[in-house]
Amino acid sequence: PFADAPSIVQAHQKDEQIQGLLIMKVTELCKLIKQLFVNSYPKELSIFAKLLYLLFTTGRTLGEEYVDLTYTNLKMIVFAFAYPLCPYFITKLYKKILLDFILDVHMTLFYFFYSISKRIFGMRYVFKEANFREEGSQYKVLGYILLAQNV
Amino acid sequence: RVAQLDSIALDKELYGQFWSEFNAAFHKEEWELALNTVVFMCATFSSCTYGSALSGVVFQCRKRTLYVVTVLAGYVWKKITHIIFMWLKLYKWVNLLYHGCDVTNFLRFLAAAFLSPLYRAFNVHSL
Amino acid sequence: YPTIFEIMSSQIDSLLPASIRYLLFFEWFQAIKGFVEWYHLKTYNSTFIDGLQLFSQQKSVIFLEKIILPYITAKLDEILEKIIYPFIKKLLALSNLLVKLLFLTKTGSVSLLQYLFKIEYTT
Repeated sequence: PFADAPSIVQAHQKDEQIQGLLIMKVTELCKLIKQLFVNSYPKELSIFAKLLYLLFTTGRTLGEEYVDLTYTNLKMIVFAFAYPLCPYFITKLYKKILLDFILDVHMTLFYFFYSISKRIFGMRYVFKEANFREEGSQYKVLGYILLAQNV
Repeated sequence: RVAQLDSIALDKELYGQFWSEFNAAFHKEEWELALNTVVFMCATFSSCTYGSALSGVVFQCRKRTLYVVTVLAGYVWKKITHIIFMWLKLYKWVNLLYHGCDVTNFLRFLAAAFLSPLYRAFNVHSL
Repeated sequence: YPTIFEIMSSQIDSLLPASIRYLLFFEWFQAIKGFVEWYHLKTYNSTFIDGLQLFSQQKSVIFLEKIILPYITAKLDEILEKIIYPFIKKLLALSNLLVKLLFLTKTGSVSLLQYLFKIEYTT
């Protein structure tokens, strides 16, 4: 069965929590090796930690394991690189020199693929209770709220 | 693996609660060590701590090994830091080494399990 | 027995008078609270804020512990500030802590009085 929105969000939140741990550890290490360095590149460090996290898991993540999800339709590795790096480079490019709108629409669609790169790569979650999950999805309310907000 | 991480967070919460209660009523590090030891003795033989029992995790070791890993090591390290602040250089190197091990260990944990290099050293595996 | 985390988060109980006072005492608040607690103890075997429940004079002991003792200690604290007592207070705190430690080893009571009168927590 395809995973429903609440469990995807839950997996994502757990992942974020654990990524936070990894980011903390990596920053601590960098602080010892290189404080100024850590302060001047906080974003790069967190991107690096995220990349490490995805490479060592997806390249299941802990959150996916927790909720018992897996991906369905090389792809994984490319995804692991693209997921943290693409947004970073796009913002970098912009600074050096519609997207918001697309992101908002995407988010609303989700409440009714969690991230846009997953949509591009076509990676959907499936479960590896039904009543309970049905209730949870009835997220539709959240979707309406988000829709109103976007309008 | 999330359950393992949760068990650590739960234990931390437990120690924190008892310490704040104790502190409200009454060598800070020594007192804390003593209290943590008592809490550990009461709440913890493989063996499981209070938090790990809640999250369904047991550690494959004797109780005293677990004690060394979870409670004593933290205190000893704190004390050494306190005393330190050649030795300084050594301390820095050890600190660096530990954190390096910590990151690699965590990555292996992600790929797999040991919660920290200490656990590995003592072979304590578990809108 | 419930987990200690549930009991600790319930002990909200200490937040309640402070926030009401902020909005806005001790005497009438304890009186109202006493009324509510007595009602809950009588019908549900548990205090108002406690999915927790107590199981086995005992009701009076709980009433004493939750309503009368805090009032007395607050008054005595006031007197002390104005001017054995600290010693007794520390002793009580220590014994309560010990009972709580015993709770960790899995009795179901979390304070000395509850332990003596064999009142224990359950879900």
